[in-house]
Amino acid sequence: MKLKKWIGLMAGAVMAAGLVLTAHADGPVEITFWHAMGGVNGETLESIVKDFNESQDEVHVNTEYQGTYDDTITKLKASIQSSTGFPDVCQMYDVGTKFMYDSGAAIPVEDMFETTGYDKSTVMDVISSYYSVEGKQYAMPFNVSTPMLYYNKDVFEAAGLDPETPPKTYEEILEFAKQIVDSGAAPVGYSQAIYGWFFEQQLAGLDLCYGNNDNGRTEPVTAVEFDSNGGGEKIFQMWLDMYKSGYFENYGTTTADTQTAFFAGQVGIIIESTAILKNAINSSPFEVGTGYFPRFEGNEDGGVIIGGGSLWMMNTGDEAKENAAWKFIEYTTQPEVQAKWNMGTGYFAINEAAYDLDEMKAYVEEFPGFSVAINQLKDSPVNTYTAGVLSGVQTESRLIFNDLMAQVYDGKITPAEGVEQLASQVNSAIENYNASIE
Amino acid sequence: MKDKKSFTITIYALNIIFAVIIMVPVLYCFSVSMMDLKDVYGGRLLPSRFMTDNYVRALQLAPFFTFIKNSLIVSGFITFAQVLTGALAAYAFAMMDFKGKHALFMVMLATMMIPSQAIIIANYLTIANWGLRNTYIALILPNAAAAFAVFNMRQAFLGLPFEIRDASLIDGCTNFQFLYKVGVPLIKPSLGALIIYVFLQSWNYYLWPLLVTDSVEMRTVQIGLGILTNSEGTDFRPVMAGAMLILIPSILVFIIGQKQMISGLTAGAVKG
Amino acid sequence: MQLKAKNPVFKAIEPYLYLVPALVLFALFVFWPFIKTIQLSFALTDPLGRVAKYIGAKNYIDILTNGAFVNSLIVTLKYAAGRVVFSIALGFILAIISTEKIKGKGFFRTMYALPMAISASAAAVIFMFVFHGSVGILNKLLGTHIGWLTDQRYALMAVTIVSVWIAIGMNFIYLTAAIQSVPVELYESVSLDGANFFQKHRYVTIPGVSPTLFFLLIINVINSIQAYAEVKMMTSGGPASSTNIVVYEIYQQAFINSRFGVACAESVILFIILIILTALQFRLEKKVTY
Repeated sequence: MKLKKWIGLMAGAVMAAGLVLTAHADGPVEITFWHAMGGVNGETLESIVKDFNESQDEVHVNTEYQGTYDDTITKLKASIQSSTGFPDVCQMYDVGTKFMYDSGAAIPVEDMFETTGYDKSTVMDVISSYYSVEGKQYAMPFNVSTPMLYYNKDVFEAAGLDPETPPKTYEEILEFAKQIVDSGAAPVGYSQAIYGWFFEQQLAGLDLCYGNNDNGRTEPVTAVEFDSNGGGEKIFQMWLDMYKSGYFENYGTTTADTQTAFFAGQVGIIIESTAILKNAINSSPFEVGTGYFPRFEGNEDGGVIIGGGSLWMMNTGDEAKENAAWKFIEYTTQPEVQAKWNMGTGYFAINEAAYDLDEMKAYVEEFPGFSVAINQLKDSPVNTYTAGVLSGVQTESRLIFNDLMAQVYDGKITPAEGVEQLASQVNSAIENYNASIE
Repeated sequence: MKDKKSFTITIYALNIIFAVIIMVPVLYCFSVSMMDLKDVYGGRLLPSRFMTDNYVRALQLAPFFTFIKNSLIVSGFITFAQVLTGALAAYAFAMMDFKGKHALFMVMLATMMIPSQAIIIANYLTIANWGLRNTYIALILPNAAAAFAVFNMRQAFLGLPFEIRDASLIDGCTNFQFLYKVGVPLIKPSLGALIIYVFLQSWNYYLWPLLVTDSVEMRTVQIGLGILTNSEGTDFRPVMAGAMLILIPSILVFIIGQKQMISGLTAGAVKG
Repeated sequence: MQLKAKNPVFKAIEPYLYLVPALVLFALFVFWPFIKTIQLSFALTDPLGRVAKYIGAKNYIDILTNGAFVNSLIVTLKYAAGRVVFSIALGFILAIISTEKIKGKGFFRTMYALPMAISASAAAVIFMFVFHGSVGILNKLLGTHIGWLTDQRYALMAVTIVSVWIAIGMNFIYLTAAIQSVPVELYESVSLDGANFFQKHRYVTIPGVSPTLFFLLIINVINSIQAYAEVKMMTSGGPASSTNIVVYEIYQQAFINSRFGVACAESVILFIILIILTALQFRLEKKVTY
């Protein structure tokens, strides 16, 4: 093991030397980096790239914002087809992982680990497992988030609840929500957006798979499992019960709408991504409390799946550019860079070392809500459930979920029918997808 | 007499009510763009104090001035090109006789019925093969002709008395001379509306500019608005400020175009 | 020039020369890609949008038998009908009331035409906030608590209102121009016959502007069936597909679900529907134009 590591390091040193030589001959290697980060996140990203460009003179990264993730993937497909205007590094959302893998347009980052002696273990396993197919890591996680619970401490106090004790289970949420509404502390007790990601998270929390073949991690998914393993109906039923209780309000599929209602003080408790923590603190005229993503009674130890996005190294056929791309990707994994990213955006730092840095410790102290997010991630077991489903149709699956969940809330279909229809529609999408890439 | 008075009052009342209904959303947008967060959550109609922070924020997040410049260039050229190609084709369809006229007109109209989503990727491949990505040409060329412009100007030409053309041609005017010296000036009123319409349509493009341009220097206004809506989902104020920023140039174009239309309208009325 | 104009060969080809610029552009950027669309509509496409294999009419059969596409056609029908009827009717009413002899005519006209200057996406952004369920001003003003864009009962209506608002400006401008070109003598003669306000417009204005009405009808039908910026920004077709108009459905299949072949088949069907609708309207024109 030790020897192997040494060889790796040597090889890396030799390669780096080679890179230095070529770079000095023709100036820095120019590479293009596509990303989907607007707003504050985009600004932080630009600043990281600027730091990288200034830190050395071998590689120069040019960032190009490409709209939403959906826009980015559309553009990437078009450029793969025309073989022009290809980026060297591309940011992609979690559910785009299978597409990237199947497209063959990317080089697995793990291929670079060996030649450059990169220590894979610096990235937390629970994070890298999402981007691993059959044991091989394909992309480098970059912007990582999980869902968690947010609550309004002022509302809790007004309702006579302990503002330091968030609810842990859905059953508790219902109790708290009732007390919030009945006491008049807020018009709505609890809300969560209709969002397929929460459904996937909840399945993982129940220690159940979304798709077969170990969530597609050993072999491609050929059918979903949430219908036969009972998880789907259990979750649909719980959410419907909450909706019918009258303490729950549905603000639709746009997560921002639920956030706005929460920031405006109209809702006591919501579920949202950890990535919005900073915005939540800035936008809320009250003190924001955080807690673990809620579980079902009896399943309190379930883990969470990571979401967000990752960086892919594109196969451009130009070795100098590929090496340059890797150099940049490697840079983004440094604890200092991850700490900066974390503090600037609210996405997780992907390596544990980042949390030991002094500036991170100060940050967590300033935003204590964030330690909850970190602990939730550290407490998550690494298993096939928390690895999440690897499926080429997950974007579509989430849209189908949106449709059916809304119908369940409206009483047009029962939870059992909802799950059945979801399963059959997603299965047919999977079948179609698998046929198209044969 | 009393009847007439109450009639006039009704007309005034209706005009005022409709004008308010139509204008309120824009005024409200302006108002929100000046608010602080508390005003928004409090559901206020007017800001408690006018602040420009939201505009500063919008400009920080997206370089709107660059985007506006690009959009002006692109929309300007598209409008010019559509009027040019449209006037030529419309003139032939309205004023000349030739074989296959009806069929060709229908073929042209059919282009309006093809959803742009269905052909956008194929067009991307064409532009990419020609090496035109990330250029103004890529943004302009595929939109340089439109059936709407042809159809619109054909209707306008059809409204002109045929005698004018016959007289001009007898005077030794060629068709082309007639078209730009007499025909186009005569259809000015509807041309004004067309120009505003085409300009606004191209001002509205999102997916195509996003696909064919890469660098921030080449991007257009809708992408700027997209940056704001994608990243500021919960805070409407910078989004409203961004919307105001991209409204101003288009409203200016509208006012200039409308002047043309109104002078054309009155000119027509005098003659009529 | 003189000589050229009288050359019989030139004379024969002259009309076509006028069509060449537009037709060349259409051929390159509309017809050629549309031929590819038709071809892809018979194929199973891979996630990149390339042909994986040809599957005959399977895409067509699938979309016509599974509910989503048919539902989107029905949604489109409701949306387009609302938008066409209300935007033309309101544009017409506004054109009439602002043509009466009143002070501030120019001001009112500018106000009525102004929505034309506001791009669909900017309008969508504004109305998203107006309709917002928790902090929107509409609920505040009405004292209601309705998720205008998130409740299946209201979402389509809300989206339709926005698109009517956007479309009024153009209809107003064209109808104002048309009303102004109706000869004044006609109004004078019916006034002498004792016609009231409504009769005057029923018997003079409507026949006088019927060519413009016809033009607007065709344009509005096509535009409302092709519009999608409002839906994309305001509802993304939801909740529960209640605002999933056909063009958004195509967008979603092609660019979000990566089912390009299916999106192409849907496009071809939409194209055929539009052709039939337009042909019917042209037939109508022959019957009713005065």
